[in-house]
Amino acid sequence: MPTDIPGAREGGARSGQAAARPTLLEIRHLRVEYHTIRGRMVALPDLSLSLAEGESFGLVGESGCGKSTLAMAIMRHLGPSGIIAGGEILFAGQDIARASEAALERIRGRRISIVYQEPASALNPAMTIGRQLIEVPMLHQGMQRKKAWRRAAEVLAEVHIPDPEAFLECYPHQLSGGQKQRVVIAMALLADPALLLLDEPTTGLDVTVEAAVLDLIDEIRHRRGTALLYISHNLGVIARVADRVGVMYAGELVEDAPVTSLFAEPRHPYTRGLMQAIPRLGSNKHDSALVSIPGSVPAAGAAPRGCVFAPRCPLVLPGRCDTEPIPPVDAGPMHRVKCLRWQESAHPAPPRQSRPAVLAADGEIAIEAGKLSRFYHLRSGVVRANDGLDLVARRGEVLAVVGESGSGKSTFARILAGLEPASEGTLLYAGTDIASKPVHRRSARQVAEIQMVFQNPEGTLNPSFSAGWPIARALKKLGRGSSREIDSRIRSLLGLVRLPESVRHSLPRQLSGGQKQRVAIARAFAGRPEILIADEPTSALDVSVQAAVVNLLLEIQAERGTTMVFISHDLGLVRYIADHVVVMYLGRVMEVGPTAALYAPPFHPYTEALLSAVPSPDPTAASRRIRLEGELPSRIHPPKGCRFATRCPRKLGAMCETEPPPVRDAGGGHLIFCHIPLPGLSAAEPVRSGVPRARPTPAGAGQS
Amino acid sequence: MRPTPLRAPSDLAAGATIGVEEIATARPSLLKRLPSSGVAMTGLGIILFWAILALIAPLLPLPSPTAQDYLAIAHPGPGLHHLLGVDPLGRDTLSRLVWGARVVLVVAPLSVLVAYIVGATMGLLAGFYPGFVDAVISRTSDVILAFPVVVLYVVLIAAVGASALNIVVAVVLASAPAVSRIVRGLAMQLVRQDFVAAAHLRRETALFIMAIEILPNCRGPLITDFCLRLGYTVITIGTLGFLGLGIPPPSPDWGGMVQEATPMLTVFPEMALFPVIALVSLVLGFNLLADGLNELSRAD
Repeated sequence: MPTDIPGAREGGARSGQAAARPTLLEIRHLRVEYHTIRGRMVALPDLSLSLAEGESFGLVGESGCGKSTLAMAIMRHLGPSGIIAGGEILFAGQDIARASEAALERIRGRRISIVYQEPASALNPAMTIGRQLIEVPMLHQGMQRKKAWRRAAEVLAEVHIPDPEAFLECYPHQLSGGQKQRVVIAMALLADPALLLLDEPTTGLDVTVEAAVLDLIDEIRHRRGTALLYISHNLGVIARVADRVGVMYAGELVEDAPVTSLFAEPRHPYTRGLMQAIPRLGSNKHDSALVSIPGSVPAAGAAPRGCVFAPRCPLVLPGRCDTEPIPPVDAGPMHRVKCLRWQESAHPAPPRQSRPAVLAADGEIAIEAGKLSRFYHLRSGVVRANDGLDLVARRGEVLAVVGESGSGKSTFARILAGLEPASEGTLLYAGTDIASKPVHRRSARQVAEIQMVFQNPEGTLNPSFSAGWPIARALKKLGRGSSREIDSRIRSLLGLVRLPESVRHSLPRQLSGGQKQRVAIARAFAGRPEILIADEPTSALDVSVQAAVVNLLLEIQAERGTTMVFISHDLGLVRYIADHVVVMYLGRVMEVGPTAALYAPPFHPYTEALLSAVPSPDPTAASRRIRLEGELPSRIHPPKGCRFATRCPRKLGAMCETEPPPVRDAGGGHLIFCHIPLPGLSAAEPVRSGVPRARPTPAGAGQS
Repeated sequence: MRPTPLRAPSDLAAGATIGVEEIATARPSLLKRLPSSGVAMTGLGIILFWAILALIAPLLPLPSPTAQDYLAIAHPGPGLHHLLGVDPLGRDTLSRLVWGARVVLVVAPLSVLVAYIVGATMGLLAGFYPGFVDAVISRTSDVILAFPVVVLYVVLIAAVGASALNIVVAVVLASAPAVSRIVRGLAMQLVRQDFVAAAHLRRETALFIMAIEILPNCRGPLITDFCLRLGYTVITIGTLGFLGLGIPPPSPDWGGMVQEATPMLTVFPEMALFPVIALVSLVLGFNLLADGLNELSRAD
């Protein structure tokens, strides 16, 4: 494969400008070890990278690859057991690895600041925001109290907090997650640092909030010229924020390149694996498969000899890849990769596949919800978690329910599964109303036929019992198969989810997250369900594992003709997996329709905003920027008319706030609940204009 | 290093990609890791020392714990005939200590065990049924826990009379609410876990969920608490004995031995000293074992 690909050259030019700037941070052969009672673990064996002033470097990789350790090493905050065992961390010419405590004090919080993933734990719950913010300038710059207070208000205004003066008097618990993260970013900016370390700052935030925080980070960077080291597991986020990207695996930087050339021409098999594991724009389950990476990330200190990725690599050369460390080679301008076979690995062809075509819109109805509602009576009022849901799922299809936190999608899942009763409305399954029938009032058959896979792999299996136990119990209690058959049924169920039979006797803590989810899937299929509810089954998993679980679910679902209700907040995944999509907001349905129709105009304004907020794993794709103002309204006093009225960018007027929106039928089962008439909704442009990848684009197009 | 055969990326289609991950090996159970904790082993050693002595008491060449040696009363200090001396009634101190260990090591574990059965049941019910059941159980526990423990014991034993059985009843009454609180707190967290929802989805009964799904997952904190509570109960039995509310005489009882020796404290302090050492060492043993177990369970 020749290397002079336009995309790569263009990317080189882009970072060529960056290279002209003086180097701010240079890490040379950094080695970090953890010395614990169990022995010595090498977290980062030998890592080198450099960052120019004002440059944004994205660090991507799955959990446990040493990304956070690197950030902590730069801050010299490795804790009592973490030791920098070799190498240099040169920051503006000074070696942080060897600096004295006094010298570190002058760097930390002044020249380098850090923003962590969990904003809630970065703020002291017993102090007002103001008192926490003024500490920084008072301590580091010896600023007077009054002046520091003014400065704090200025910085809050800079991170777009409305009415900063009043905000300073608030306590952290009064703020939303997005506001907290803004405060933490403001705190990091107070000292005007030259380098900002961001460790998964938007993980755990809703997608619309994430988009706004990413906008803010972009804006700060361009206004202040701050260099960024941005850590994330999300390729989409990295594509949006970074100039240059480093891919980390098992403590090593396996590939680093300018963002455009990395995404256009990934060279390392691991990078390619990460990209193939997430659904590509516009692809769906009917035309392509997701590719997972077999195996799992080695534990810290247990990295194999030679290439760290060799045990999971499809291109591994036994005898060559697993003997000596692989030196980095230049695969293009500024593009380094640690792989012997990088030339063979260009242009990953997405594996084609064909699954049964989309189901007809008039297929047999499996479940039908009518005005389904669930109210929680709290002391402070009534929360309408589900408020008059109307929806249908047809036999054998995948119906995705999408929404941000607080939308009521999980409540719907729990009502359907029978874990909670509905307060009002109907839920028809096979001719009977099961809305207000929790499991103990359902027939054995109904319970067996509606099963669920849960979100959190950590809580899904009882830690006291081996993995085979819940499957055996399910077979026994759901009465599918005689007790003599149970043994062979367990084996076939484990085979169905592609787990070795020995897993039966393993305790949950011996299994990885993906393995636990597969046991949970086996358990759910023990009763031969007609309906499978999957409540964010992959949101806690790494992308390569997510791909395997999604493939598995789809395969079993298609093979058995199961109807799957897939609850998710991941719009990219939903587009890939679903036949029909329901978009929910504050307990109500905003839009329903066939997947292809939903992802194209006409849009509900909320769907439009959601789609625009999703960061695309393609730095060259331009997308329209629609951002939601304000915060999610109180769930106890939601807007009277359209639930979305308070944040809608296309609000028509008072009518939206007072009157419930009418249904706009866009045809083919595509319904939009909005006051804007259909022609108005149809006039919207597609959210993304997918620019073909290899075509050169103006420099920086992906960033603007 | 496992050499993996060469595969083209396009072969990695849906089904074929779900590779078999290695399964981690099991971590040895808490019991098997016990020897790695010096603290726990020291505690266990002390407890075993008393347990073995109590077990082989009838085989030891000791005088009966109730036999009075009138000749020894004149010189009650340690000597050849009575290694640890005799009490004011001329009974052999060593023999009474060894036989006293029998009493304490039966009554204390028995009462704690019963307290655990009662307390765990209360706690599971309270944690599983929030609302009325929880309110009744929790408020009842609060009332009992509001009493000073010693006053509770004295009033109770004074009312029903001193006997081994009544000591058990008293300890159960005083300890069960505390156990109930621990179990309730753990159960309330565990009830929200998805594996409990999964159990509902296969129509398990409430009893099954409480006893099989929830209770075993409380064992970590409960094992530590069990050891600590054994120590407290040994103190309680000693206190009751000292107040004359323990095992009725002439049965050997460590608390009672201290009390009988108090009038002679200024003349023959060792009479009280030996039973006190016995009591302290056994309590220390239980506390050290609890500390060690706690440390081990946190070391994950």
